[in-house]
Amino acid sequence: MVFSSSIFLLFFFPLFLLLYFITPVKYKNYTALAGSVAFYAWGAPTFIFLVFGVLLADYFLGFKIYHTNGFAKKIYLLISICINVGFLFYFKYSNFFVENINQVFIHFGAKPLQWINVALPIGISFFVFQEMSYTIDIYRGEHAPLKKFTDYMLFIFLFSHLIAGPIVTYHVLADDLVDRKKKLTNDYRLEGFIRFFTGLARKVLIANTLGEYADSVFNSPVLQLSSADVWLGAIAYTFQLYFDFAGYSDMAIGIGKLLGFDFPENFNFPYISQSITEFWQRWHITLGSWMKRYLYIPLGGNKFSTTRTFLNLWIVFLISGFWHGAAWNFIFWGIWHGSFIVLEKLFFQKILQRIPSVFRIAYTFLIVVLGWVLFRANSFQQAVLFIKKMLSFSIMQLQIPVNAKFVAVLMIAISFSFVAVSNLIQNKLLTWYLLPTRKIWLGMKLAIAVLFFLISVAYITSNQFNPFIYFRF
Amino acid sequence: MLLPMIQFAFHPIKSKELKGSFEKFEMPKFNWHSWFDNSFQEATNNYVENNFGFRNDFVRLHNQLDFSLFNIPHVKDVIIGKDFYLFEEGYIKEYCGTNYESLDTLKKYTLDRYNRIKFLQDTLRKLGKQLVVVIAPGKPFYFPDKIPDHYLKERKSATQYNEILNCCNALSVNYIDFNNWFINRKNTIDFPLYSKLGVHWTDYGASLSFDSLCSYFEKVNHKTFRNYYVTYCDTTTTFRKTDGDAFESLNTIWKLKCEKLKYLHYEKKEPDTAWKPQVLTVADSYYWTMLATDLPKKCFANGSEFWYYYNENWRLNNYVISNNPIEKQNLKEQIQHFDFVVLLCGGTNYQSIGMDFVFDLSNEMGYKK
Repeated sequence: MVFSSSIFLLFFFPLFLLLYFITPVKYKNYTALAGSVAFYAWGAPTFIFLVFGVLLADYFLGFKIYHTNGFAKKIYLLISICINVGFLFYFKYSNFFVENINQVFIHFGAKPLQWINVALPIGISFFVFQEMSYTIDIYRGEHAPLKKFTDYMLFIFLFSHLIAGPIVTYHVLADDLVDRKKKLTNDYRLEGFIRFFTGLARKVLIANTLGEYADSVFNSPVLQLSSADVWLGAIAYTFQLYFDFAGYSDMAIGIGKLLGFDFPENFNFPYISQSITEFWQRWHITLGSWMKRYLYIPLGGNKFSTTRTFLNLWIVFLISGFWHGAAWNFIFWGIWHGSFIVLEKLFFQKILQRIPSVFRIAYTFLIVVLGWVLFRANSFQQAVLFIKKMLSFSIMQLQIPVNAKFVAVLMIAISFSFVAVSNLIQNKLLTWYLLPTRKIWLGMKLAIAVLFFLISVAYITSNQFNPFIYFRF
Repeated sequence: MLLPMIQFAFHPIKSKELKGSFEKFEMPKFNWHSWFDNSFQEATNNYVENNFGFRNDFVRLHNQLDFSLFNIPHVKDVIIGKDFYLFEEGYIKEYCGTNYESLDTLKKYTLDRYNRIKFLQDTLRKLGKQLVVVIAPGKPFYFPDKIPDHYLKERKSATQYNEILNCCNALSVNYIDFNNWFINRKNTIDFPLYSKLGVHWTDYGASLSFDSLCSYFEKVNHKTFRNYYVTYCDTTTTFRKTDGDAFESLNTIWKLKCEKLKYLHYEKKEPDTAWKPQVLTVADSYYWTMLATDLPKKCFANGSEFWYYYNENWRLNNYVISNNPIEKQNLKEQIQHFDFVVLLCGGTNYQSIGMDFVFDLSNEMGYKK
């Protein structure tokens, strides 16, 4: 079940909210858990028992870590990490490794390994990271384990961020899981609705429209495309991905507020970044934070030599890329960004400081767009062909036509993405959009959000509705 | 957010149905196997997407926004021409001659079909029956100035319409060319024979065409049977019946006004004529417009049939038309009941006038290539 589906928006979600709102405070966690388990079981009925088993193991290990010291403490943590990484590796990456090993075997004339492809549990990349944050935060003494297993299950399973983040670490949510009475207010709920409806509109009205064009470009043979097609397709995808992902994060944060949780922000106008370093402080912020807390700093961060720092950065970005998907183009995408981070730290940042900000933004945007081609392409080979075509600037006439709707939506996407380039506007927007406001503005925000909701539902439901005038045999 | 669920469960408010032909989804039956392989969830999702409360109104909202803001019609194959004239793309391709791959194949295929039609015409005449090919008009022929320019850039001189005329003339096949008739009368007739917002001829155009068809029957059979007269006519800018079928299938919130259209109202003369023809019409949706005038019900005998795309059998009995199963065997025997066989198609189906009926019947009647 996805957030942008009729069954979620008009059946599951209103019913769930109604039950949640009428449930007494001390039982709300159980209602939220029941709803979340139902949500997961709808989408992945075969995996729920397996995931439950891993949760049980981690919960038990969390207690063990908390109540032991010294070497045993480390062992329990190691076991937890191995279970989680092993789980992720098996379900997400085993197919990739076996496929590549077999290609090597075939190349050398050896018999390939016999293997049945493993299916991927929904949300695995997100909940494994959250599980790891639980045991690591306990190990670090940052928070005690949760007393109730159901609260722990809720932390992992809460449907708002289970499928697509934001990645919520244990120390951020620990207190709210136990007591969030102060956040169960009407103002919070209203802000939650506004955030959810706005996120839905970003995804449905902007991302989906741009995605149609991007798909038509990326699904076409490169030979049939002009440079203009590929550039426009890449730009369309750039904004599709942002509005889709940021929209989903908005919906997750909105649901969190409705339930009394404060989830961290995940995007902060990433396309106004003036360097790749800054980009990663504005894009998928929770992933960056997780990588920093649980990988970069344990590796040594920037505490050791410059070479070691750069190696650590590279490793982090390589793993970030691989985390996104089990394919070579994701790995190369990670390497692409890691390389520019290292280059900026080495010397490029100093050069960037000397040029006007508009050129810094243009440079960053160009690197990001080219990176997204790697990310989106159906294979690494296709990505290379696409980038070659882009940089050749051969035929600049569009072979795939665009319509007025695409152009209008793209203009809106660009406007909303770059409007915060002025610090003044950025602060005003963030204040108006994110923070609780006076009632009159709240009312206006709610009215706009409800309108967004109605139009979004109209677009969701009509997406597949394209009748013939008359039935034809 | 709860309102659609309440509407879905209790239907307190009646929602207008959507127009057009589209797939309908049923609520699936639950079993554990379908749950675990996700087929139940998928089927439920489809059912809910298409049946939740106020769904039709949401579809109209979406369609209205896309139509008003971006000129996007959400109907398969419908395009918006100049000045908001609606066309079905297939008709434009027929007009431009871009709906066939090779001219040689087109000629060969058309010749084969019309050789068979000629064979049927001659064979049926020996049995005292008449066969006639009726070329219904195509909207792009009538409004060529409203076609978007990028279609016209690819226009060829050879079209299926031309090939049909060539074959009919060369083989002396009986035909009525309403396409040419419409074009010739466009500037002289008082009201449009084609509407801006419809795919088919107007009710007025269909009435005049039907009258001409009956006149042909009377001439060929030397018997009069037309027994209706016009009681009154009215004009309106709000389309009726199928005159705005393309626009109605857009399923928007607001109805567009069209140009002034004329509607004739008929009464049956008394006493009824002694003889009425029993007619078999094998046709596409153009014949529905003729049926909507009610004239066939007044003029044709009981037992007259309309074989829609040679797949559905709509039979006339006591001024009522009902759907019956179609029998594709023993056509030779079935034909015995009819006085006239009409093969009728409009602009996008010119290449298949008579559909497979022509092949099936000619084979049964011993056609040899």
